[in-house]
Amino acid sequence: MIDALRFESARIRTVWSTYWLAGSALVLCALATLAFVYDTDRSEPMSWQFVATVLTAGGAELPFSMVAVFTSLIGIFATGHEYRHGTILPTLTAMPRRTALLAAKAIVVAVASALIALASLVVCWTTGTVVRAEPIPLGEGDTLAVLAGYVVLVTLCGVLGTALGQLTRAIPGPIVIILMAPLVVEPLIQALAQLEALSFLRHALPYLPFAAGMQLVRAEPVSPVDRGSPVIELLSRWEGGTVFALFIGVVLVIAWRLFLRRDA
Amino acid sequence: MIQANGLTKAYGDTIAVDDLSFEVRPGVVTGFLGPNGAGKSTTMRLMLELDHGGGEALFDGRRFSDIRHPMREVGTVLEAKAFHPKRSARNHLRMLAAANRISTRRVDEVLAMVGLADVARKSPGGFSFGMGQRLGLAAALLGDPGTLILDEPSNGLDPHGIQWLRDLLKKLAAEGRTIFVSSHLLAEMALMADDLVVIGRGRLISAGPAADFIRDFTRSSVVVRSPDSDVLVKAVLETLPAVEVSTAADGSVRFGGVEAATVGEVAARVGAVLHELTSSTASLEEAFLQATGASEEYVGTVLPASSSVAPAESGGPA
Repeated sequence: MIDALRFESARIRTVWSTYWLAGSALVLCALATLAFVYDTDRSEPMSWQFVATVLTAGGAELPFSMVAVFTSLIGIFATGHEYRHGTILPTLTAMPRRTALLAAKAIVVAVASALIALASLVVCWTTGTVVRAEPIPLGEGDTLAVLAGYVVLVTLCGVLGTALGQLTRAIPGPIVIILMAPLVVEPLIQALAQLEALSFLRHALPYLPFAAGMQLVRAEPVSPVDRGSPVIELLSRWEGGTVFALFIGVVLVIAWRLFLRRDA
Repeated sequence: MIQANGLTKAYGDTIAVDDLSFEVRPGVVTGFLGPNGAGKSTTMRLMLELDHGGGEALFDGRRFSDIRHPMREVGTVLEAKAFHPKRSARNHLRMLAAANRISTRRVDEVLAMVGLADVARKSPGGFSFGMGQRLGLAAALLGDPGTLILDEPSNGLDPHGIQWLRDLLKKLAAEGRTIFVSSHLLAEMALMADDLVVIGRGRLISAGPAADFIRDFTRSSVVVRSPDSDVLVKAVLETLPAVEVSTAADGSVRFGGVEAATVGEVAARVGAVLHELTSSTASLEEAFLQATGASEEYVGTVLPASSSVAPAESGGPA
């Protein structure tokens, strides 16, 4: 396992896409923070919900976390590039133990994703502090819980990208899934659930994986889905995170089983 | 030593590799021959457990996946240009070396060995096919392995590169390593391989010394020039009725399936004057074509001269 980790660590550090994806995420975080903070009255104190939203570059105000999209891409490239460029052959002749290899990819991408999440928090906090000319408070309300949830969300999305890349052995498909599922598919299901004929879908709404995952960065108190009747209670922060993690675990296990069975 | 035991691979109803067993000895270069689609690459992938199928290949008694640091024991080239186009050649090797605890110093050594030291830090996306092949060879040599499995390693190399590769593989074999190399270049294989494993349609045709293969799959022949060729032919056929006789346009006569000494003795007995008596040695190519003729998967045809593209008829578009 150590050898697989050494390999994967070298792999992720020696490809430019890791750096430009991480850099792009941080630049967008800084720009988002600028936009949020610049638009507020800087003489007024910020609510802890607003602080959490600013530091997570939009948090639950966006359909999906911006930084999580970038770490998903890093994960997709970790496995998808192996097939796109044919490097799976030298990889498996250098490291033939497939379980260790996939585990190492998931672990290394998770660590890289967590570091990017932490770096983005630093960038957002620094940008906000500079613009407001005063340190942004971190200890109020549930700010730290939201920030912890944000790091978990971004980390999980890196692992999800790795699993999807391995499952499809391609790059475009997983990218479409990462973008379409939270931005199109799940909102569509939520809208359809409002139809009386499809009311049975309402019970599934809290368990839609990306919507559940976004509970990790929700700064507002948990609110019900009240677009229709009856009102559906959403999951709490850590319940939602658990549902999202379970979803990723299932995808990863399927990808792993297929990786063991398929020809290289 | 490589031992392949009952390697089998099927794609649906198509059997690509059919119960293939052979041994590859250390200390010699073993060529792996077969027509297109015979299953050479699939066999190598099965040996390295990249593909799943029946049977097993043992490297000094161990399966490939049981070797902790495989690049230190088995070096492979399976596909040219199997690298990320934006990761430098040196970083590509550093990455592989990391999995096998091989030093960065060795990375630089093998890059120099294959002639890529000057482009070591460049992205290999712009490498020629031959340069890609050299990078693959560098990866194979990275762990200084005792066994090399190379699938068409001379593809894309220029004549100097091919000669370099031949000398390198013969030198490595002379050091006691096990070298298993497939190639379509029969002339090249004839110069390089001591042993041969020949397959057709996934089945073993021959395994053993190259000289034995050539002897087994070709008939020795003798070329004779003689003003008394009619007399000689008649006498040879009376003595050895199974001999095949053919006469060339220049008047020389070829006796197939007989030794030169026998023809000489018959000529002496009947008093035929000989201007030339030459043993004709069969080539590896002749033996290969003879051995695999019935196993060719994809067979082309020669178009008849009259079937060239018909000239366009005059007139406007249809």
